[in-house]
Amino acid sequence: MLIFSRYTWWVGAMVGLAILLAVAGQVGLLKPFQGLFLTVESPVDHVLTGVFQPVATFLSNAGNINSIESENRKLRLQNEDLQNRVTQLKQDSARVTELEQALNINQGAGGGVRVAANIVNRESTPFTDVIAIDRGAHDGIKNGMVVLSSQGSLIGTVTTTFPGSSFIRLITDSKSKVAAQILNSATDGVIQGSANRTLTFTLGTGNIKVGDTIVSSGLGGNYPAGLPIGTVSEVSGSPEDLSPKVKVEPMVRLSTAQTVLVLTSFIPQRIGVQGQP
Amino acid sequence: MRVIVYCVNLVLLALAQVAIAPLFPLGGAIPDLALIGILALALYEGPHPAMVAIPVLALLIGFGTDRSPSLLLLAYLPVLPLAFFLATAGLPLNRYAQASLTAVIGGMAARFFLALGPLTQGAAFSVGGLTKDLLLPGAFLDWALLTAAFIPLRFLGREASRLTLSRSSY
Repeated sequence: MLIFSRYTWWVGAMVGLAILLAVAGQVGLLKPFQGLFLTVESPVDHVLTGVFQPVATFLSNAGNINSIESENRKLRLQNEDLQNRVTQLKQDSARVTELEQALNINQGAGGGVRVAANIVNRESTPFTDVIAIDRGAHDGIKNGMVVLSSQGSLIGTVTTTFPGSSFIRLITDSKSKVAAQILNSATDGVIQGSANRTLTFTLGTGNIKVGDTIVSSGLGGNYPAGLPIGTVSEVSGSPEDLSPKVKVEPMVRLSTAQTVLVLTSFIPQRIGVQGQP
Repeated sequence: MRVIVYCVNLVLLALAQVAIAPLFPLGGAIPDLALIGILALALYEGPHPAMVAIPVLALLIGFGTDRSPSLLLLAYLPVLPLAFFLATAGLPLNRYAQASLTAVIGGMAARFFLALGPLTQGAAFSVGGLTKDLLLPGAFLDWALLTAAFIPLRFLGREASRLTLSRSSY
């Protein structure tokens, strides 16, 4: 008490205020004020991020120049390989269309409705990975909706919505879990965020190799099946282990993403259940 | 007029913490501009403006980042009593050393407290994640930022004020 002698009343008042704020937050009294604050703050946030993001990217890249060069070489090779595959797929697609026309088959259009949004804020610590976007309930966004990168990879889920903005928990957040599977194999598991914003594939059994692609499995109904999540970067553990320890590299570099897509046409099971009478 | 300037500065500080600080992480820690702002306010304007600034900043930063304002308030709460203790405990430390220690210890306490939020909600705990990636880089960032703010002010002739509270105020 000696330390707090002159500050006792203030500390007591602040603890009381903290309790009041916690209660007000729980019953939702703060939400209108937060929505108002975010409406005013969001454009300023966007401008500040636009100004400082290039500086931050430059400083970040300057410290990793060797790894970026190595990554660049790897990506060039991968790009060439992908270009070849795209060419092959285009040929296959044209052939499939021809066959569909010949057999008079109509296939529904895929993709779904997506709302593009800018990332205006990011909160990354070893235990949390959350971003804020400049779209909200006015744009049809609801809690639980699935969020994709601009290239269509899964990056997270909407956790809180306000009229003009929303908060998204990224898949690298340690509270995040997504039912997933190894592409073109029967290996199901769970992609889980872990400390330091990394991804692990747990509960997966079978022959998992470095370089395997992991996609959402759609089990549980909270994510559509087939959304790319990442590639296996490390497999460890002994052959006796029921399931090996699998580290996963996300498809998208989440720290530098600036635009995301919210999949508004897919209604996850958790929203469907909430919406039932 | 002075109150308006304080209010504008607090809003700017909160915006900088929400929009700019997360762009410059070191490990898993981001610069805690709010902590340095509170400390600078206490050192150069006296403890009373800082006592008002702490709940206001907690509320604004909480709104901007979707963190609990009450948790932020409790996280920043030990900073002023700690600074007061270091200033009055008779330790052989000059003002810069006192401020540095306050920033480092107060920053570690705040980060630890804020990490408890997600951990109590089911986030995976990792000692390495907490110490190597959050607390130690955070301590370095806090010290570096405080030094960047303190030394130029010292050269400009600004003297840090005492952190004791007069009894008549309470």
